[in-house]
Amino acid sequence: MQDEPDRDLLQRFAQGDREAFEALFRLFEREVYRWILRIVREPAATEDALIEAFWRAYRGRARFDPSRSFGAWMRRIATHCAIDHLNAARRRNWVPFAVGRVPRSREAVRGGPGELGRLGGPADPDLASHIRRAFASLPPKLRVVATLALIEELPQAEIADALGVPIGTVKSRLFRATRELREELIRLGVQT
Amino acid sequence: MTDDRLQELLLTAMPPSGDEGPPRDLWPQMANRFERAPRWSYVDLSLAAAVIAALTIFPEWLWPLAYHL
Repeated sequence: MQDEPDRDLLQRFAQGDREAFEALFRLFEREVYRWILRIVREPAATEDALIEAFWRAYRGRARFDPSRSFGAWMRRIATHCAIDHLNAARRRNWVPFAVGRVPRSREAVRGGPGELGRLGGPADPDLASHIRRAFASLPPKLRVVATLALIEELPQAEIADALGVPIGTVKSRLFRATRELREELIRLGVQT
Repeated sequence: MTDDRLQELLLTAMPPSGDEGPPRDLWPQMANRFERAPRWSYVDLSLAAAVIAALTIFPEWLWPLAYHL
């Protein structure tokens, strides 16, 4: 995580100083971008969510306590912006997912170990596509936890901190996410 | 399907994001967001004042107004 900026800068930000805000934006822009990209996984949408996150931070500056970590506070705001983006994207794509969600393939897609390519390039594009579709069908709150825990392999405590929830909630969401994902993959005919 | 197998499938279809940062300086977009922030115009303020004045004189209008809002 980015080193914490000095207290004076944080206090000026909390008082509404635009220059202090710009300094913080430049300090944390890269870190926040990478964090949102991990969740949203789409560069254009990440830029929009980043702007929204910093905008919310600026509007909520009066609630920020300069004695606390700006990075952690910003990451929590960014996480919620990313979830809002996933919710909006899900609403936009609601019809195709809702109507039969994904057509069941006649032949089950078999994903044996031999059919998996190297990391980042599955040998079977159908299998990769089914996995991505199954993943996209998860509710955003579960998808965020699954993304950060299973794909980005972050510690559960870090995920809990970013979401502002107890670690037990992360564990239960992860459990539900894997269960729903498994069910969806079976429904899609992925047999492994 | 075991949890490990499920994670293996996920990692294959959706590899972890890299270490990439924003492709360009995003501050101009941020500054633009400030410009787009909604501001109260004189028309808005006049309308709000008129509604408050009307409700002070005719408080019974509150319910029809609330219903139509």
